[in-house]
Amino acid sequence: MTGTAALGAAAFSLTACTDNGTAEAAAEVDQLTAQADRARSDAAAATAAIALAPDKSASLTTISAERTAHALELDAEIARAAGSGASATTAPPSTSVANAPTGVETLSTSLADSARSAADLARTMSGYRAGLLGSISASCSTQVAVLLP
Amino acid sequence: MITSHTRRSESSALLTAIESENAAIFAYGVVAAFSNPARVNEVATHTAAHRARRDALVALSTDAGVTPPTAAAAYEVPFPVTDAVSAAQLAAQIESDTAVTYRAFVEQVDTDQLRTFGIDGLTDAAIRGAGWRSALGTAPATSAFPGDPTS
Repeated sequence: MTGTAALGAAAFSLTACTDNGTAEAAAEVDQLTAQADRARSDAAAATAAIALAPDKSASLTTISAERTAHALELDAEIARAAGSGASATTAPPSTSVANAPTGVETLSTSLADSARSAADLARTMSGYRAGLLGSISASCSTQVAVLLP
Repeated sequence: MITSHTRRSESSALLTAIESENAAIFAYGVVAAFSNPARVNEVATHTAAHRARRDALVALSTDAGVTPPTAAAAYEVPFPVTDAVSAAQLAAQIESDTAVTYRAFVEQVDTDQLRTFGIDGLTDAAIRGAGWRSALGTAPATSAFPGDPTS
């Protein structure tokens, strides 16, 4: 079940380095972690929404899988950043997993917010991270426009 | 301060994107010739969107002191288009190529304005591409990482 997989994947921890990691790098790790948390939360909400909108089951399953893929790729990027000396100030992700079924409209609003949030962060970054966040933003906008019209 | 290195990668990103949009405009002409008559408005809207982005890119590169390339007379189309289905497949291909261009663009440019332009271009291409794949019955019509050349 996708919801369970998303929960399990959240068990990710960062090894705090000594204080020689730059504050900037740590802030970037925090921002990427917030994006990964959003992705997991959307994935869980999409899975939960199937109960209320079984007719949209195929679209919701796709959204859940794509947001889970976003979370995993962000985790990989966070690991790279942490490995390069950033000290994390984050506790283990306290993802608020939606247990109560979420309506499709609520999910749609959340995905639109996620698209905006990823784009805002992409603008402040460069290179691969900017491209990845831009791609995640485009993916969320497409989910709203094409999968949940 | 913009270094000469970022300036180089930025102008190369602008030129590549202009070329990509010129190729897209040409290929949409092929799509228009063969596509389902019911999609004529969609094809016209998408062609206009690519044209608008090309014109904006030309203006951006002129502002940056870079001479924009002019469109070639013809561009190679990746597979033969003979009917409405292959026309829709070409349209889907144009949009994935456009998405790849804009993701690379976002990675290479160095200002808020250009990154915003790139993210918008990537988003529009992803949405149009998913629309075409949906019309073709491809499931899923979307991809997790639009513009990723390896996906």
